[in-house]
Amino acid sequence: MNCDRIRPLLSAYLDGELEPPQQAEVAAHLAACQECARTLEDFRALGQGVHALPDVPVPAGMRAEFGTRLHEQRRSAFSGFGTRLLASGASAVLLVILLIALAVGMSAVLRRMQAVGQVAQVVATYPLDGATGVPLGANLTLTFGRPMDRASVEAAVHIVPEMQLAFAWHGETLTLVPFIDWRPSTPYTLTVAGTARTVDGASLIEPFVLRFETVAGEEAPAESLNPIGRFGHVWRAELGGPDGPLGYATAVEQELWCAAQPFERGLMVWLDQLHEDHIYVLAYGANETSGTWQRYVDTWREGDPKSTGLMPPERHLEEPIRGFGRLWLEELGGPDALVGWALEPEQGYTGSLQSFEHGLMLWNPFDEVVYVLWDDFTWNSYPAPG
Amino acid sequence: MDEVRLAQRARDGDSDAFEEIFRIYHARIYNYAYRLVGNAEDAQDLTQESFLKAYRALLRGAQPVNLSAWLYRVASNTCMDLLRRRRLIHWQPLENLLAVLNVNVAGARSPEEEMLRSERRAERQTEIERVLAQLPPRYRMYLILRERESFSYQEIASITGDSLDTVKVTLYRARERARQVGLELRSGSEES
Repeated sequence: MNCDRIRPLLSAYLDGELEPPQQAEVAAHLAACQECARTLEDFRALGQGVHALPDVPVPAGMRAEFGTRLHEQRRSAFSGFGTRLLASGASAVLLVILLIALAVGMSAVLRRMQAVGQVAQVVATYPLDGATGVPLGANLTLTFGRPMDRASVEAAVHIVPEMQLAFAWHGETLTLVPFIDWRPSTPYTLTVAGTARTVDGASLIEPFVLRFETVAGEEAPAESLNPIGRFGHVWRAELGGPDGPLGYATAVEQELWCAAQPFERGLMVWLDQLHEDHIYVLAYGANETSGTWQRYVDTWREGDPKSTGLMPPERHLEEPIRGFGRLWLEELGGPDALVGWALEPEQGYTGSLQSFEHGLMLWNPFDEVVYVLWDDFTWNSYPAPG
Repeated sequence: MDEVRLAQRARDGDSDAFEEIFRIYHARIYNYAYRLVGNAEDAQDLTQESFLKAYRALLRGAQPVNLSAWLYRVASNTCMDLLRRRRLIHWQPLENLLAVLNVNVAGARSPEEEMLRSERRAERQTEIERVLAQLPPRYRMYLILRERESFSYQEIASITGDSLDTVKVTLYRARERARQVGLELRSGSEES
């Protein structure tokens, strides 16, 4: 009976994840060894305890808040989109997205039209009366209960503080598009005077008033931080600049001392940073130009043991040492790590890094690529211009 | 509508579809984040942050095969990053534990026996929470994914990005460590 060999199997045994011969072997051992049987029972009780932890209620208002954030996100993802479309002429994919969005929007309008009653009044609005936190780029929409004489409505619209508005109609829905963003943290009052008429001459039941307040100010994006050089090239040419998914830079490019080590299925990059050193682990995904990444704090210090004590199983493989080795062994699973064994010794170099709203760019001179680490923990690499 | 079509529509820029995804999953992801970080405020931020990241990833063309596992993956990464950044070694105690317990006790409508049972359940719950709190975040994540969320080894591998062998080994280590912590807690409370 070998408890040392059986114990590590108890967990997978409990989950029914062993091959049948191993499963049988563990069962036979458990019948004879009280110690291991007790451990298994502890594992099982722990599992039941964790399983039985009660659900905690979701905070009220979380869905509404998320809706607002999603809306802002959409706005920032698509702002400046028209100009870029004209400028580049190459954004066919975005055009398709726009058309789909329009089609979806139109069908929503049609559904609403069928639902509203036949009265000369405003039956639906965005934002709702009394709304706060209205995004600075939001359009307003008013849906009328009956077909309106459009010119009379447009002449009857008035907004305080004054703002220049463009009008767009879809059936009975009027969209009011501000020429520039709304002012932050500002209460606005939109009125449609009683002079607005339906197509058959009936006036509104009563003048319509909509009050709303805009969201607190956003800081103006710092153009002065815009990336230059190889980061600037990739940012503009590959990622669409500030309107692209990476957004604006939030800091200037920073040169720093780095070390990198290639692995069988990824790489590790160590960055010498002011307060604590970080190790980025980039695992390959479907190919070697994209994948997932994680960031860890480097806990290795001069004087700590350098080696993991593990020997690579093949000659061309390398044991990662120092900070990479400790992380690899303790956090990534050692030889089981997704990235596998190292392929070459680590190398130090001067690299650079720049942070953006939705991720960061990393450059290392060996493979002449710019890594973009997205904030959802996926990454892509792009060839850096020479 | 099935998940794949919802994700497809969200990828095409339909934020309504994504709000629907949020509606379906937010309570599960919130609870998961809560169990990982131990306080409601962070859990709420992390949940919203995770969904926004998922939305951006979809707009960039991500094509999750298993939407639920994929959302857990984004949430796991987001939570673990926070825990690592803060080096939040001591997990904060559950602030509304008492509220939960009161609900349980009130809901028992009890004969004494029922009362006793619910007290025992509450004690057990506190013990489990203390054990989880003292585990390294990665072990905590593994135990929650397996025992509370009931994911298969394969699903855990796709959520954590680890290999199947790593999942097996890590789950064993997590359980063994939790067992040790549990034993220490118990002997500590017997001594005092």
